[in-house]
Amino acid sequence: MASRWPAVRVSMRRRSLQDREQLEESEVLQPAVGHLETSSGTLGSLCREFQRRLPLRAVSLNLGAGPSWKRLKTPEPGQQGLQAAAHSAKNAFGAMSQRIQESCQSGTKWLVETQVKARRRKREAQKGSSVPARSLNQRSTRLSGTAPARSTLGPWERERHHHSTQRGSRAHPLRRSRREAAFQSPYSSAEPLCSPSESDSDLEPVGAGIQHLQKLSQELDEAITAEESSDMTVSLLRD
Amino acid sequence: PSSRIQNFGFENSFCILMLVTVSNLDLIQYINETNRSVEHLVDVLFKKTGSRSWVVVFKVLVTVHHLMVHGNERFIQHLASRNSLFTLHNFLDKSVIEGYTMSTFIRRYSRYLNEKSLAYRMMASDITKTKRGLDGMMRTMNTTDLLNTLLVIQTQFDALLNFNANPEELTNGIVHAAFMLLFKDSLRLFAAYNEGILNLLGKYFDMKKSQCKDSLDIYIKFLGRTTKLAQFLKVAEVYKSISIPGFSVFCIRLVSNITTPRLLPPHKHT
Repeated sequence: MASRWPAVRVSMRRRSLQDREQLEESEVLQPAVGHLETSSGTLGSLCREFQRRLPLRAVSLNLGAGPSWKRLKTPEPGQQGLQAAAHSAKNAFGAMSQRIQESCQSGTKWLVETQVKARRRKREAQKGSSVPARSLNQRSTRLSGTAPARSTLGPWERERHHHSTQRGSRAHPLRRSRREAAFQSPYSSAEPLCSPSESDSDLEPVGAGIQHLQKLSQELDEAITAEESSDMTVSLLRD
Repeated sequence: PSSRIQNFGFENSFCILMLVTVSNLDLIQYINETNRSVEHLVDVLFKKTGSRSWVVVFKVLVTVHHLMVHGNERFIQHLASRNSLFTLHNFLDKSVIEGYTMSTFIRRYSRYLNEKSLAYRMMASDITKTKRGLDGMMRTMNTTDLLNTLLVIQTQFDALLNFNANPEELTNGIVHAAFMLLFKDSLRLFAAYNEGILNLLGKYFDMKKSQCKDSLDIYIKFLGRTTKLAQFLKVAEVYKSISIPGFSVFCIRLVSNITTPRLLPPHKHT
């Protein structure tokens, strides 16, 4: 039984709105006729109040994404309700998306920079040996992701794409460190870690040192043998 | 009796030694050819180290060293099995002028003989008499034994080099005899040391990390000891007491080989 009352109230409101519209129209046409009805009773006062409220209209949010979001004008004190809420929501969303865009740009910049640095380092290590650019280019495109054409994406899709790239490149440090380690792994590219001339030059002193010790060992053996033989000679002479 | 004793080129000092310590006995023959008690002989010799005269004490030490090098292995085995060895770390003979200098050498020399006996106990063999070469003991040893053995050799070698005599201090036959016995030991000990290092370098890249650290430490110390050995050999070359043909040339060549720049370990970054 109690549940019936809200529905009754809603239906009453609807009826009263419709009545009010009709009354407005009738007031314009017959102002003298409505005199007795509006001036008397609580129902009339209620109707008058309802007349002052504006009708509900569909809200259209202007969420077109631009390169930069400008702060909207603060809503006038006269504006109330949903428009004000829509404006504040637009401001917050705009600021957030601007931040996301900036971080995406810096992330891609960082990605590009690291790739450039890695390429420079490899070039210096190899000292002029030819670098297969194709593998590096492939890696760089893989990192930044194949960027779809901007014109085909809507505003919501574009923001999602930026957010995903930012997440993929920077948000997870563990994945990044693993990726870096994979790129630094000797098996990640066909290029040698160091040139043959460099590895040979490092091993040269090691080999020379070992040869020196072997030569020393031979000298000591000869000296000991000579000494033992001279000892025996002296003892035999004595006998 | 003196003719029976093996001679290194300094006859007089040994004759004096035998006459003073044991009356006309051929100690080598005593140990080698009879079943007489080595323990009794060692007891007699150790009893003589209680004398206040540096001459008597120094000569006992030289006799013991001589028997360890040239005598039967039973002698050094017995020394290694004894609970206590020479306790001459406080010895000082103030009765004569040269007593102060000689007492210093007595303290150092007795310490070396103790280390030599201890090394025999730890390795169950005399490192100076082990087989050398590619199939020798030091070249074929496994990593764990090698690391332990090299530490033992290092300690004995340090005690030997600590004798640290200058040519002007070798003023009498007794200290000269001690120095030459030490010289003989130094050649054999360093030969074994060098072969151990060669084996170590060959095994280095197959070692565990902890073993690599120990190996690097051993190698660094080996380099320092080779420099000290070069100084020791220079003293021997200057004195020229050994009647081996070409001894001077040998010493010079060995010194130059030791002091030639070789592979140095990387500096530790802090």
